[in-house]
Amino acid sequence: MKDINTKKVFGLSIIFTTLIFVAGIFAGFGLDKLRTTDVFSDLQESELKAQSFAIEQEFLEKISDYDCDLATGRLSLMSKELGTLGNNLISYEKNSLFKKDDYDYLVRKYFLQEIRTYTLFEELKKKCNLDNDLILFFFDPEDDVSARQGNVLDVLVETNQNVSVFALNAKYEKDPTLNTVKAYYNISVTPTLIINDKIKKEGLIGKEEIMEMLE
Amino acid sequence: MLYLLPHFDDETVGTVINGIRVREPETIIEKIQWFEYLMTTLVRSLMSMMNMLIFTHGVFCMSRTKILKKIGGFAENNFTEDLELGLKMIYNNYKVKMEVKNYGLTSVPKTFMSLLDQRVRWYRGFMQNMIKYKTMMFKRKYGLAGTFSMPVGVLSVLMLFTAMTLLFGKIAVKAYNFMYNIVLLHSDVFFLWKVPSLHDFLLGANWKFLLPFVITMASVIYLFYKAHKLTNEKFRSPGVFATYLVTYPFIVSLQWASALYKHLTDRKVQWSLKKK
Repeated sequence: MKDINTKKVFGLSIIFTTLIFVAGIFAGFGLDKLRTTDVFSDLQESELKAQSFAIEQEFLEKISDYDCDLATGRLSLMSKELGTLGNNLISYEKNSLFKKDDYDYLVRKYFLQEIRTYTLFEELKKKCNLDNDLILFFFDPEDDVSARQGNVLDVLVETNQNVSVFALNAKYEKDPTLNTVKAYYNISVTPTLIINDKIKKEGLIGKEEIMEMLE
Repeated sequence: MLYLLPHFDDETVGTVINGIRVREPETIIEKIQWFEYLMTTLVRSLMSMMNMLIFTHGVFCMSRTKILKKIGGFAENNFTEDLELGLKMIYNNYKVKMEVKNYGLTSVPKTFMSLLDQRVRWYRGFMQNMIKYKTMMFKRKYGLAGTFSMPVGVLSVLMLFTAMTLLFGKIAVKAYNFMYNIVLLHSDVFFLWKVPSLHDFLLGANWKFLLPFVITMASVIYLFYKAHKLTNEKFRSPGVFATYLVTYPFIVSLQWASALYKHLTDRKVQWSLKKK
């Protein structure tokens, strides 16, 4: 075998490596764009559903008899969709390379939507005397215990149709509404659960213990 | 010999090595080494073409007697006298070349433990000789062998250790979390496992890890295609090949860790043939 031109080989290697690197950066940028667009459109859809729900309630209250079953079904579905959206948002944000500011905006918008849906559900509970259980879950995205509590709550929602969980980042301090909610419930540690606006539990709580409190 | 001899027309060539193939591989360990030796042949032939080959081996190689005697022959008390010879040739400004048209057959360790013994000796030899010839590192006087082969050889070991430490760390954390979830949720843990849709997978996957992994795997498969073509071998044992691709980094890391431990604690060399 003949000797080869080493300068040519190294030159080509550098060009090839640079091309792969640049392609990787472009792919990462494109992927982040797709992710933020995906979450943004889901959030817009959720906002629209909340607005539609509020208008429907207003209409039904004034025109005809209030349909509690229909309203409960809609809100349960909305809270489930928000849960999935929240999981996607956390995973996308963790894997993102660029667009940190866009994610920050989406995270803020998401938490506001969570608080809005929770408030709508609380109102509905009182109005229709529902036995649905609502849990506010304050977490720290960097904390393993919060992640485990999140797993417990995911299972709880999967196995109990009547339970809705609204997750809020206790470490997020840029939004005044979220800060007000945290101050109202006096949140100082993570994870913290607020069960049906009555019981406050700090630290990791197992599924059985939560079930007992719900009963 | 007909293929090897023409290389000596160049007066600066001290040693010519040939390709190596595994003799009648039967066990999975032997078959994994069959693939490994194929790749070694490709890599060393490329190194030879770029005049950066630092290895000679014991499965047939030819040296110019005059040069061999002049540089002091084979080193005694060396874990890998073949690697030492290659480095010594370059240290004395002679070249090591490879001829792939010719190949030697070798019997390889049949079991994991005998393979471990052999590799511990090889890797201790690598460490011993890199230290012995450390003055060659980054010296242009020794061509690409000094400025590329040796530093990249050392760097690749360090990178392997770093990558494997990070990977094992991640696996350990995942395993701990998995066990914790089982303790916490018992059989309910299965509710956490969901097969993601293609959309969720594409957007949710960690491409910072996945993209380099896919590119590396594609490159490795392409190199194996070239290695088969170079050696005129037919592709066989796809199951073993897949096992090789998945397990090889772990096996090599284990062998390196064992070699490093034994080298630091100054254990005596265990020759694999004695164990058989």
